[in-house]
Amino acid sequence: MAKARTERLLNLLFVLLNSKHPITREQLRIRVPGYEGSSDEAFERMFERDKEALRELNIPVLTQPVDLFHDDVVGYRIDRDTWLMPEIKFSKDERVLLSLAASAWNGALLSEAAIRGVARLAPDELELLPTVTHRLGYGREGLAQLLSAISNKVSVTFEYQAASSSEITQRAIDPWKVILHGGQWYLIGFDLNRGETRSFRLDRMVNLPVVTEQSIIEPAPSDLDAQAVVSKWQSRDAEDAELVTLEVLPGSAIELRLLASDIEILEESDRLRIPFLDEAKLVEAIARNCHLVSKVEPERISIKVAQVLADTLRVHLDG
Amino acid sequence: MASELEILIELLPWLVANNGASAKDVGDKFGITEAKVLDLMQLLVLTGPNQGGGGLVDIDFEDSESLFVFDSQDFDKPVRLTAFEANALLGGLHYLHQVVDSDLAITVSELISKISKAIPGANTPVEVVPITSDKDLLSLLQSAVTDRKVLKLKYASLTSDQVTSREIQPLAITAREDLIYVRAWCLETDDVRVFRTDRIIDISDTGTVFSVDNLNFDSSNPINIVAKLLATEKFTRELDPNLVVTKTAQAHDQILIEVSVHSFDWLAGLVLAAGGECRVEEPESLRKLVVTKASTWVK
Repeated sequence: MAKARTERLLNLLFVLLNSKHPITREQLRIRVPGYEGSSDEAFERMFERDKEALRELNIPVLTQPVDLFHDDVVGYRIDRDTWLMPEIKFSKDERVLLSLAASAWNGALLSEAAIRGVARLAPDELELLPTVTHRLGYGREGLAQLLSAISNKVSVTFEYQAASSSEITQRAIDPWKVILHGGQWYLIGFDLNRGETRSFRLDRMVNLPVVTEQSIIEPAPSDLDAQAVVSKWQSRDAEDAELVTLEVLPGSAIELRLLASDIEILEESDRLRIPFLDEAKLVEAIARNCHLVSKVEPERISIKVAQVLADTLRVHLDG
Repeated sequence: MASELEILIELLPWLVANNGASAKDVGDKFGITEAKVLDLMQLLVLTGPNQGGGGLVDIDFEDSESLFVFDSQDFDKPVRLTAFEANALLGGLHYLHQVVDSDLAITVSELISKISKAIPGANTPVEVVPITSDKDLLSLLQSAVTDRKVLKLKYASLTSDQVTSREIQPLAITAREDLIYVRAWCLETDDVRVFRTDRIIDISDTGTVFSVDNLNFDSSNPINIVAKLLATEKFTRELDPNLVVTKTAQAHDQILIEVSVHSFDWLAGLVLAAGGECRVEEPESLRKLVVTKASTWVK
């Protein structure tokens, strides 16, 4: 943007911000340096462009009648109260917590937005805490898109792999909330094609959620109980839970023991039965403990573990 | 790339709140050079609501060490948060609310209602249900950190693959996602260790108090072992950043990570499960360990 235009826009901004009453175009043309000396047509063009430029920066440039009795003459002003932050006082403790909350997000988009937020809420807090010990949103890039769609009240679309089938389906959702529950991130929202409230696991979204420009049709109910929605779908999932049976060296593989629903002591090994929903996670846990595990049923799981280990072995034996 | 106008809209109220900041401070804050800051000051003082008599922004920037706003023409407050910014921040606060101890949680919830009131449309669209919902355990750990209590612990250790008994001196409580950890001085290993609270099987207060002064944090720490891994971006992103010493980008989108861990057995497990997403570069003993373990399965 040319320097002269920035200067003109700033002047326009100050004039509109400092006036309690709407200002007509003719008044602006006189008061804002940069408009003077231009033809009527050139001025109209410049002013329209400038007004849009301000609005694009989310500056609420209002168009209002200049007086109540003559609504055919309109003027412009910026409503300070809706544009600028109200005064909020924070204690030192609160400012530290704000910084901590802002830096908790692991995803770049979210932490940047939150840190920008703190910079405005508490502009005199110069430094963020150097040591961040509470971290949220690991490896879940889709969170930023979902939160942005929820904030702007627009629907999202994504490809989803349901727990019960390997089929991938296209979903269109009015998003309401994201929830971290039992180690998993879920989106809660209204499924526009199925016409019901549903939860979706973020790690089963095949691609990043796409934020549409479609305003939501179904707003979140005021008494939305996100945990209950997740539990409901989890228990449906649980009916689909599979059981894997492993034999491990006596007393070993504590990671797998912690997952087991029952442990049977045999002569030369211990037999663990582990219910699971997330096959990929189970396969990883077995791979981590592979030297302690002797038998795996069903064979499908055994083959998958062997595949992971073969890949690991391959990169370590090459060259 | 933010336009000059976008930068100025953020910069002016910030400078009002931080009057006396240097051009360098401002530049660092907004990601621009010092020269650019002075350039923008020059521009600002030409603008205002009324070009005649006293209607201009007034900033003293003769001394670049100390910029001083005398008159901001009423543009002295920051722009309101967008719904996205507010929600990202409220989400972080809600998370803190779940994972800090009860005293702090009260401050956090007051903060949430303060911000929600000031920003219409913000609605905390993030919820976190921590795995360790055992409030008694958390408050015992928190009081141990504050009052320096020595605790006795039965812990399911994946590193040594057994349930171990040990005494610990808790130093801090931290969280990652919905998991809560306690960082403590471990009297068995004489070193700092991190324990996952959901793997604590039993815990009790020994009644002894410890002094932080006696802990030797700067010991050469012979138990820490360093390894080099060549990994994909995905593997690196999901790795606990506390383990990472250095990261260097390599060809083919790969990343060379130097990690510091307590146990090769544990690290070997991480590599085994990565299925080729990561390769041990150093030391050779770790590479051999991975190969030996994987070979027990792949015949």
